Amino acid sequence: MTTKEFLIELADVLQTEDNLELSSNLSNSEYWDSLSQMSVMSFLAKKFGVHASLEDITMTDKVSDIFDIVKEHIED
Amino acid sequence: MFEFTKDQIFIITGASSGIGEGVSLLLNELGATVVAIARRMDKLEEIKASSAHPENFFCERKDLSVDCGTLDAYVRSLKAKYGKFRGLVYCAGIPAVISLQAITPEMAEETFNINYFAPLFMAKGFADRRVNTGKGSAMVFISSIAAECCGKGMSLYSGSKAALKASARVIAKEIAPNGVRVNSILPADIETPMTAEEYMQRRKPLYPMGFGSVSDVANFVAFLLSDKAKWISGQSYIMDCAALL
Ligand SMILES: NC(=O)c1ccc[n+]([C@@H]2O[C@H](COP(=O)([O-])OP(=O)(O)OC[C@H]3O[C@@H](n4cnc5c(N)ncnc54)[C@H](OP(=O)(O)O)[C@@H]3O)[C@@H](O)[C@H]2O)c1
Repeated sequence: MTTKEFLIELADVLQTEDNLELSSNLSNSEYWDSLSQMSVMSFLAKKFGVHASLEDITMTDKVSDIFDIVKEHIED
Repeated sequence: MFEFTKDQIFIITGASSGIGEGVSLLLNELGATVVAIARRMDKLEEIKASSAHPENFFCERKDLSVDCGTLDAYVRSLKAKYGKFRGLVYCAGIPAVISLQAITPEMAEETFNINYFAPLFMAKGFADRRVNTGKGSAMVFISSIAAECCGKGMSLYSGSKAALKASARVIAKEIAPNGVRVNSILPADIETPMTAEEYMQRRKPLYPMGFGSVSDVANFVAFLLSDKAKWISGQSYIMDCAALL
């Protein structure tokens, strides 16, 4: 998966029409809640086999924080 | 009564007959735009022609029992065509009266597909923040009194309707932070094409105030979709006029 594909899939998981960038802020966004955090955890597990802790996810501030968890699986 | 506006768009399944037909016509009459779904397009077109505002009545042919797991994507495709939805009313359903020993896996699958899995995946599609209008939007599921009462031969039907009722409550809790309300209605015997004449004759003595009508259910659905019900979510309402208590 490329960075661009990652951002598109993450936007889908978060159910947002925004074009996500690595620098996009999550903590202040309307779509960052406990349900979307659980969805992100299962997305990372299903797509990358990465089992992030709930703490990792809830501490997330920007999209890049999620990206960092899986960046070794990103192709570009 | 309550009013809707034409930019408030509702998806109604099972709209070619009975309760779904009544709900579609009522919401359209009250000013809403309706996207009516069923397999029989000719019936939908007839109903549209008889509606108060045919220009705000759209028909979609779809067999909801096929590939239920893709219905969330189907709802998103409807959003791309019509815009964000204010509500979803799931009325499609089939009766299944069959003794335990006669149940086959095919019958079980057929019943659960249309009565449970289809509404579940349509709810998944509707709950997507990109699909609904957020605060003020609502879903109503037509379950059945059979979810609560035991009748011989009803294990499949009652099971599917009880599952729908239970999931509706959970979904209500999950998506409450997005401002979307979810309720279900559990009607007792309503005179529609689903209810056979001979069966209704036998049931008559149970109903001192008569059977329910499609408009009884449709009026309640319209209320639950309206802002008058803005503090009602996660509930399941029996409509039986005290008959089966
Ligand atoms: N009538 C009652 O006494 C009563 C009581 C309690 C609960 N209910 C529930 O209320 C709901 C409506 O019942 P009703 O009495 O109005 O029944 P109805 O008149 O038989 O209508 C059923 C509707 O479901 C649609 N439908 C069935 N299978 C479908 C499929 N595979 N794909 C898409 N649409 C499908 C039918 O449309 P097409 O055939 O055109 O596809 C029709 O519009 C049902 O869920 C029923 O279980 C009814």
